[in-house]
Amino acid sequence: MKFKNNFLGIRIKGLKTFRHYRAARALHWVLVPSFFVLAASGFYINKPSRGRGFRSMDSARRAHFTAQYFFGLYFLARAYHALVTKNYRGMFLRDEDLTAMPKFAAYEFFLRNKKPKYPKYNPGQKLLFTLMLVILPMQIITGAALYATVKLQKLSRIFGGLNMTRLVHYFTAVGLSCIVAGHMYFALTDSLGKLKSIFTGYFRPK
Amino acid sequence: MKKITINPVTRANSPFVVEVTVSGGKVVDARCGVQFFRGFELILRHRDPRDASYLTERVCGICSSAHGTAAAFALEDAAGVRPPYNGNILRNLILAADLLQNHIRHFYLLGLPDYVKGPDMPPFVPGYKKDFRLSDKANRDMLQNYYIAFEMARVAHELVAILGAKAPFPHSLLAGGSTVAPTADVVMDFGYKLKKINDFIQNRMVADAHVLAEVYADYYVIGRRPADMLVFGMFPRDERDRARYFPFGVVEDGRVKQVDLQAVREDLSHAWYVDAGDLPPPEYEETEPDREKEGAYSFVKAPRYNGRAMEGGPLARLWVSGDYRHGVSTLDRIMARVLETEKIGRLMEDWLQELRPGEPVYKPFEIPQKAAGVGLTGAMRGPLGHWLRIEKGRIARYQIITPTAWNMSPRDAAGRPGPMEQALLDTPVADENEPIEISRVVRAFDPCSACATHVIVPGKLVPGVER
Amino acid sequence: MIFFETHISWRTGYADFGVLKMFYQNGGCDVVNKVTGKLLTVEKNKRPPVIWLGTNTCAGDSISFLNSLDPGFLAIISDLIDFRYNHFVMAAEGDMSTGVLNDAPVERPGEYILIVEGTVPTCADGLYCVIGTRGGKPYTALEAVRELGAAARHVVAVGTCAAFGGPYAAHPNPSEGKTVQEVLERRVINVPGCPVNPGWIVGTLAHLVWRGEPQLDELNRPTLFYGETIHNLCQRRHYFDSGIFATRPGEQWCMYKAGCKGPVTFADCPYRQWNGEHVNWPVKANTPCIGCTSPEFPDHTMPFFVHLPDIHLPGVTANANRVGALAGALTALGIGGHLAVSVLKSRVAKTVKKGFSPPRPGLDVLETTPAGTLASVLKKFFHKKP
Repeated sequence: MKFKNNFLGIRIKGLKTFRHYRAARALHWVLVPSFFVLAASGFYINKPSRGRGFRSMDSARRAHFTAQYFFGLYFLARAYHALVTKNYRGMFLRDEDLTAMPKFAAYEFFLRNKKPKYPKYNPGQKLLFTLMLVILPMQIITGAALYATVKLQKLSRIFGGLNMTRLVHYFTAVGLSCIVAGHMYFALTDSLGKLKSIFTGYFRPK
Repeated sequence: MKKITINPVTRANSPFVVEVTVSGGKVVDARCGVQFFRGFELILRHRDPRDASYLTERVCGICSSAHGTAAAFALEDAAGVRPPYNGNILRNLILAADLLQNHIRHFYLLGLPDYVKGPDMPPFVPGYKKDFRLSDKANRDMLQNYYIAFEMARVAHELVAILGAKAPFPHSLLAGGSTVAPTADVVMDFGYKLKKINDFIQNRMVADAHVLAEVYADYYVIGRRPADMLVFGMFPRDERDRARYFPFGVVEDGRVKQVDLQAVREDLSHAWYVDAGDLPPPEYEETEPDREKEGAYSFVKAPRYNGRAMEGGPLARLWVSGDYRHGVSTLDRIMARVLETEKIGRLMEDWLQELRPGEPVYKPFEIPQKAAGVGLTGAMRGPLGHWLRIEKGRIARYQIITPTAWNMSPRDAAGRPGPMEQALLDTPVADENEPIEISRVVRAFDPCSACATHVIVPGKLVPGVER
Repeated sequence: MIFFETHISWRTGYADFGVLKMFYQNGGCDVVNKVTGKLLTVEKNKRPPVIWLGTNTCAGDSISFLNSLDPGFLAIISDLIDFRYNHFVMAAEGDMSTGVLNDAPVERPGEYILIVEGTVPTCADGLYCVIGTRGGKPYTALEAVRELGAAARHVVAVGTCAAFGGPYAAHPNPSEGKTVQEVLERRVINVPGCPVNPGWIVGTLAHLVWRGEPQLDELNRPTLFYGETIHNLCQRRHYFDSGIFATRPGEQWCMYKAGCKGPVTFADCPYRQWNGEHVNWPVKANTPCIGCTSPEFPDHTMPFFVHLPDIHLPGVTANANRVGALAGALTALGIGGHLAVSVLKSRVAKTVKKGFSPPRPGLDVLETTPAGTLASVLKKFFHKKP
């Protein structure tokens, strides 16, 4: 049992506190490159033009179709890991997070100066993970329908045909990219200690 | 007094209804109605203006090129763009090829079974049995041409496909020009197919028309109406569209005048649409269909020019251009159609020579944020107009007035009948069970109800004329 | 005795069908049987009756049917089918023509093939499309399709309107048009296309007559013709792969950026081409495919010259890529704004300073936990007291 430094909501400062499993960290760093490759190649495929990082549609598609497997692998492995270690608890929005949301928002919108502290994740992060629960499968399903147009024609019917599938895939990608941008911004500016933990697994509350 | 209803009138692009009252062996009252409704313009709202060319083609399966052309003209007018030299000729060729197709199909496939006795198999049975006057030999020859005409009309549609990707609904009729480069191989393929068709027209179709005119000479009297006709010019002579090969013109009592679009008004009194009252609704208001309306009998509205019911089509075009002014009757309509086919076939051969290989065919342009445009062209059956209004770069309003809306219009508020109804008056009916005379009269108009059922603002000036 | 004497006239270039004279005298199918042998033709009394019912339609599919080259219309009606009813070509009119419709289910139930072209309007009990009169009352297309469809051996929906709604049922669908499948309980074979390619409909008919129902996909389209996307069959696929794109109609490259719907459209246009002579097709003519065989046509394959559909919101219609760009811009603006205020309020400096400073002993009370809840309750309690 790892030391999580959380006694019914009391945390002792200065102690080395466990935050991320090794497997979760490893998977996170599988997701990062595959996301960037997918996003870059995907937006190129949507609107191909020179200066978007790919020389041809063929190379963009190949990159997209390679990265998609890592993306899918990430999703399945992460889901399995979350179930086995039960660390899906505390990842998604619950009632108490919704009640805590105004206070969190007040701080982030500079209406409050004192920074509220949370256990592993703050309500904003939980919102993000909850969105991921929709976005990732959506991208995988629409992506599969667009990848195997003939074999998986049934999948595309769910969204009202291939062209609509394309639209859903595009907008989900835009949404995902916006969320990733926000995530990166907060990861870099919120707390250096927590930023370290995605590499080392541990942080020291200060 | 006996009422005869023909429902449906077949061998028209879409079926329609004719109701006549016969007294003393003659028609004393006639009504032509269309019993289906679509409302195409509604679909176009908020769409990309470039889409109108392809979508409005879908109004009609047999004259799709005309709609594509009118839509292209309207957007060009709105965007202030002119096609390149080649683009104009290519578009003319596509529309002309579709016109050949239409006229050949109309004369033979649609029209001939009214005059020629067919073999004892579908599509000729069941059918009328009386008043087929051709001699056995003439009948046989004409029937042979009937089958060849299937082939020729098909080849004419191949012409459309060569330059326009496919037929019906060609892809190359766009604002800004056309898209297939007139390389030598394309021109040669087109030219030789055209030659086949022209040969058929000149050697068979024209001859057949003359045979019909001789044997059925009484149809120079049957189907008469006043020489009130309207023509929108067809085939721009050059890319700047200063003149057209078939010029604009309106014929009132046989005299040719300039077209004044301000004189066009539409009437709803006998059409299945909710009356809008005295005050015209805002320009963007749509008319509501109302199938239960008292006294109405058609989904077609009644456009009038200076209060007159106007006829359009090959006869009107040749009348204005001065090529044919024999009269206004059933046979005149047929003869004019055949002569026009011949004329267009010859013109196309000239146009092919005028193409300049290597020069551009399409001119790119920006879609305006706010603009209005009118696209007027002659179509297979008469004057066709598309009115387009663009707001925020999208279609805010689209309006189509089709040739058949003129030809097949119902009565107006003053009780004036539409052209086809006028032509039916005094038509003799020998056998009330086989009113073949009536079919002959209405079919000479080449009616196409598919085009005619549209949503148009009632009692108002056609918008787009004023800017 | 009948013999076939076709010769090509070199002067005119077209076949001079001497045989047609015989055709006229003797009835067509014997003649053609003699010519083509028993290989292709169906015996006269075994040719299934075909009723081609035009409902709310532009007749484009009937015309496309006439554009078939081999077999041509004449061969189709004499060899393959017994073409009983089609409003575009039949000689009869009025009650005489609709009489054919009344006879078919009675005379030969379960034998005839019903082909429907066009949507079936349901507005005002179907009165928005009346195909004739029966017993003095309007005979609506809705009634006709239901009655004829019930007793037919096969029902074929030809063209995108009949199969999927198409242009005549496009938003806002003023006539409340339905597809043939939607008004019938039984299976309908969909042969879409706007118009249908002559090869698709004649090929489907041939399959039905010779071998019964063809293999169908989940939308009941024959996989024979609609089994692969246009994109995967396209001659210009290599331009796509190499990233060579036309930016406007009229350029001879891949039309993807000009809005081509080939990647999302199932049909064999690139192989088959148009019309009967297979001379051309939209991409070959340097224009985009507009997805006319798709169930989404035209609502969701528009705009035709932009590759993603438009977003329609009340009062606003916007292009999908523009909406995407707007979302991106808003995100950038949000992050930038937050960063700017963070810097102004020296939160960023605080984060950095804290990150590098040594930890100080103490306790944190965390929100969304029992301790946090207790703390906030106590706080409220003490705040109220004074």
